Amino acid sequence: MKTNILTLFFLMIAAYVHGQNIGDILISKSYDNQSIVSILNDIDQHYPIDFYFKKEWIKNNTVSTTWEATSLPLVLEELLTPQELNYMVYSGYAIIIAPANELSKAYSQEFYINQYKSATTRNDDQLTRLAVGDSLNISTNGIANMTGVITDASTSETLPGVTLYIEKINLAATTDAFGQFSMALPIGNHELKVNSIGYEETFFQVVAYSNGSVTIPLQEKAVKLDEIVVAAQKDDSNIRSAQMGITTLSMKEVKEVPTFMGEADVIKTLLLQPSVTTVGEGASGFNVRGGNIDQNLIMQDGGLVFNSSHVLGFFSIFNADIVEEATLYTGSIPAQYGGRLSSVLDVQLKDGDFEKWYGNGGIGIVSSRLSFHGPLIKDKTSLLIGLRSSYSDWILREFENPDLSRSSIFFYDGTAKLTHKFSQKSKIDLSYYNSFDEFQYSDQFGFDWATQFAALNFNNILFKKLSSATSISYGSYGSSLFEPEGVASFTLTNGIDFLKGKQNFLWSPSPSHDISFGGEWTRYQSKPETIHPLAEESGIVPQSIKKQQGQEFGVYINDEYIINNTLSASLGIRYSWYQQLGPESVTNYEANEPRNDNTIVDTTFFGAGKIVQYGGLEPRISFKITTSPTSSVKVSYNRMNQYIHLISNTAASTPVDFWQVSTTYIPPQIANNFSVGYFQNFAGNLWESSLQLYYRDIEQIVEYKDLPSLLLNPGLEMELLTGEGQAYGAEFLLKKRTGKLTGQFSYTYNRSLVRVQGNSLEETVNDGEWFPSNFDKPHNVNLSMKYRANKRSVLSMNFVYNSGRPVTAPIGNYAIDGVTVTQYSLRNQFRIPAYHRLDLSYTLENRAIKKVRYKGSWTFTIYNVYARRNPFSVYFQRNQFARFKPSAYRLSIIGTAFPSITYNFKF
Amino acid sequence: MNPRVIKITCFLCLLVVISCVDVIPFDTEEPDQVVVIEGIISNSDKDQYIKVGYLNEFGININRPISGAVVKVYDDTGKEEVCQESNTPGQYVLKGTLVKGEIGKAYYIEVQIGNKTYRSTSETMQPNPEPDSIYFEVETENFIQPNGTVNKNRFVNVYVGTPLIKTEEGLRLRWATDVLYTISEPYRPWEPLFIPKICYISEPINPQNIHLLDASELEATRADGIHLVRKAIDNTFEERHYFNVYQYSLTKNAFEFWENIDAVSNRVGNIFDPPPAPIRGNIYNIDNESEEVLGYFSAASVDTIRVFTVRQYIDYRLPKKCGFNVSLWGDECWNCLTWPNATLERPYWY
Repeated sequence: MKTNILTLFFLMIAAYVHGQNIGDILISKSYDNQSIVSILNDIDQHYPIDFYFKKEWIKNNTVSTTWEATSLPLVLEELLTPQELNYMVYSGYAIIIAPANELSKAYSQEFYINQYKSATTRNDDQLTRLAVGDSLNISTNGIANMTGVITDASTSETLPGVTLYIEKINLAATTDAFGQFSMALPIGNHELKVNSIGYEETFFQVVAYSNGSVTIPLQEKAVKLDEIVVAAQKDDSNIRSAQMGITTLSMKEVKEVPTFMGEADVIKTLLLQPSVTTVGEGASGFNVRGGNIDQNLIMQDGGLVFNSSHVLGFFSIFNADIVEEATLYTGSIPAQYGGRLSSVLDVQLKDGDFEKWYGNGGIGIVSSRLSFHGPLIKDKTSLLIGLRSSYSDWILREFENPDLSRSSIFFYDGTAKLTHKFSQKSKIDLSYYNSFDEFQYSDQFGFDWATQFAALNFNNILFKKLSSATSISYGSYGSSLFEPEGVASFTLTNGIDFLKGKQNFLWSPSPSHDISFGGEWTRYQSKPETIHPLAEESGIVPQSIKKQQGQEFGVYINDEYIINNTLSASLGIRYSWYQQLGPESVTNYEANEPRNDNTIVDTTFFGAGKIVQYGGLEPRISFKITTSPTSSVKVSYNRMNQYIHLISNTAASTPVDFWQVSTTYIPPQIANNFSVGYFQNFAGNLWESSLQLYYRDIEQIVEYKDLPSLLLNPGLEMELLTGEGQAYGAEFLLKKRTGKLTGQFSYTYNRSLVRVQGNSLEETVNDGEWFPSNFDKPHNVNLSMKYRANKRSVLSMNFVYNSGRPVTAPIGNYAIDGVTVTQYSLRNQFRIPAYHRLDLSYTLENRAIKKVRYKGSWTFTIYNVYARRNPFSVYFQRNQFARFKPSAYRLSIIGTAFPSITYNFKF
Repeated sequence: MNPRVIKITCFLCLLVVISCVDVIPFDTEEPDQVVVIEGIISNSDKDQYIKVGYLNEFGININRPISGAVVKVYDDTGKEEVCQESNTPGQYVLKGTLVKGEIGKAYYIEVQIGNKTYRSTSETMQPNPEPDSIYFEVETENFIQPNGTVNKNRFVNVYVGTPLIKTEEGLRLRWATDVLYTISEPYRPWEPLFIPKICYISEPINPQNIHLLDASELEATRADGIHLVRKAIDNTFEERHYFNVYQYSLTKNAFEFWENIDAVSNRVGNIFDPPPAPIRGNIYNIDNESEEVLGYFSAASVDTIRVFTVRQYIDYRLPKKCGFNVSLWGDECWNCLTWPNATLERPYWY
């Protein structure tokens, strides 16, 4: 077994990808007593190539030399041969340097050169022929537009970032995010070279007659180097990209993270990232950089997700088996996205396979999942189905307590995605998601909530360098609270429907510009809040409160612009506006008085159409300045408007929380996000580090009066206050990217504060002073490590530390008519104890058997290894030993080490 | 909502089959000197008082009394009456010589403490439908001991029913309960001249359980089966128990005040709880409205209904409290006045 492992990450950024022969690169440089490493770094910085190597492979020799227009291969030979090093070239710009004995013969310099020579001189009969256009209708202007799509030959998935190059006419193109390309070819024969990292470089003989389209399948490369990992991102992408605060999770990564009950979970994995926190174990949603959970825009295939939780927050709605990738934007948020203040979580589902049927699934102690995908029409239409369901009631039935044994907690979700390729230029997919959760405590009360949405996405290449993505989605979220028995038995329902359309264009006029522009429209229709009697003896009077509706518009343009070698930018602007729509009666209150029953003046009736409108410009700007080959500084500024709000007056969101659109009295929340970061890599990008500072101010944040009444309240605005918020902090990240042992350490200092200064006591909170929000947890430490012992087994660990969340604590007592009343402090003036936890997991894959597709793996997880009783909350009660002062009790949800085992399989 | 919150928490704990509550150190601050004024004027002889005190430190259930305050009650005709401080410090009693509680009339109070004057907002006494039904049921609950054996606990549950009437402001009711029972000293054959005493013990029942009904939006003309009392049967039940139910008709503001007390009193502090807050009453400093003042002055009509149990009604099976074995007698068997809240004064309705 080879001892040295080379792990390489490549960035598929179109702007950097140009077809070129490294022999064409002429070096003119002079070095005096310089180390070879520094010479390579200098060449890397000044010429359109990138070197990849481990420093320990290069002896610490110094060199003095001068090159005048010297071809790069000669330069490399001079530098590397004495070191017994060799190199290989990917994509014309990426040069991998390694000890000669580490590079297999197949990838030796000689082989590469010979292969290239043979390719360029090969007999045309050896090449696959591609005919473009109609041979009987040859283009009269001498140019044939060849459009097409590059696919993976085994899975038929489209491949972005693939380079196509015709050397003789020096014509190059790159596939876009949908694997599509366009080239204007002179009529005639051409030799086309197609290469992509991880795929065999392939040559084609193209005969161009007239405009036409082709599909080019690429075979996955049989990599000779032991464990070369090919990823979508280059290993210094953190330095090179103009954007920051973007986290992309692969599901492989998600599945190797230790989680509660062994259920691979996108959101629980995101909680290991800096500045992503939650208010408590099992709480719904997540908080980003001090933002509330409703300030995260969550989408799956473009459909809006209003509640991302199953089982009151222990699991998320995303089925890791069918998710392609999940991207969280926290710092730089492109202008394509809008409507939330803090972050965007964009989850993309896989396409079904276009060639064969595959399946996978997992069996856990409380839930299982199964998914399968494959072609309905080979190479044209595919279908993906994913199903999950829980069966936790067997645990409850073990309890002798009749209330618990009659309780239930249950969820299911199902996803279907149909993808059809009309041609190499266009693809359409329709995905549908449906989930249901129910939680019932005995025959006393319960919650249920359900989400369903459908999203239709159509991607199309319109012209050369211009592609289009059209998306229409419709969905519904509803929840209910019920008490099944007694005179007050009822069911109370709430919810929201949405209809959304989005048109995005991507135009790449030159390698240094990627311009996105388009618009989107979203219609929100809150469902009436209704209450009905449930039991026969119920005295509840049926009641329905009409809720508001509104629509949100946004138009935007965003340019990813590479200005020069050291400076690049992402420049965007979005204009959003919102209208609350009638018909609706709006209550009028006395001016400059608190809104309550006593200050109501009258009501105004508005017919169909606009009642109130808000809007504004939202600049999205970020710059990257390269300070050295291994470091960069980035700054960004975003302004975001949010027109829909989660009404939730609890520290953790509950299923009865509801979404409320902006109205006359509930203005949009507006945030200005500033961030600056320094990014530094070490040891040939083996180590990655960053320090980011951020500040956010929020105008018109939604706050609540003391002890508000939120449910079934037609005058909801009387319970709400408008305040201001600020969040600021610093994030430090250190990450080891490759090797047997990988992992990351992060520390975040993060504050989230709110201030409500009203015109009266009733409208003022905490005397008008700044106070911590419910999710203000200043110190956050995350350490996650993964050790891949061999090809079959992975050992992972997480350690998490958070400051305790703020609480309002009792400070005194008084009596009213014999009832002891607790006097509480000002809002959120105390903190519960800190939270910390260690998790371990071990994944063991079954031995692979040749020609057998079935593969299985066992994942053993211990959550909370050292059985820390982390406080879910703190409450106060008297005990028999404390005559006067009640004791503080810590309530822990998972107060012990919790082992689990999951069997995963695929076939 | 709050019982639900408690049960959700228990449910989540038990879901993962673990015990998850323990005591931790948690220091809170000492309270500032905050004035607490609470009082009620009603249409009955009961409940005519105003209590004045300071907020006490957390864990002590009585106010720190303020003696020497000047307390006046005003009605909407301009009459006023000064309340006299009773033998209980900080408690000021309205004799009703000038100002009497009547349905439909409005009242407010003024309290002078040193050079500060506090005033309540005006409260109009609401009509009260008389509760017309009360009954009790005996419930047996299996209780599993840690060693796995099953014990049976028995309880008395008391239910009331009341008509619901339409009022101008909307009918809003609160119920309070207490129990009155007797402890009779046994005869002592060795003391022929001894005359045993009968003590009357009056106790509130779970005062922290606040029973409220907002009937302002209900179409129903009656509310029946309202469960107000659940009391474990112990060996005091060998003698008659009277369960008294006091039905108060409240103003909208008073009702909201009690709703808020209910919300903060029964919370367990978990993350599904709404954040607690100081409860704003209807008392304010007339010179400084920003001063925090706690408490509420209420004008509430009250009506009482009661039911009693005797041992044969509840299938009493426990041994006698003061039986033949003198060595097992508690202090109350020798002197029943040693029992908490015991008095020899027999209520007129007993």
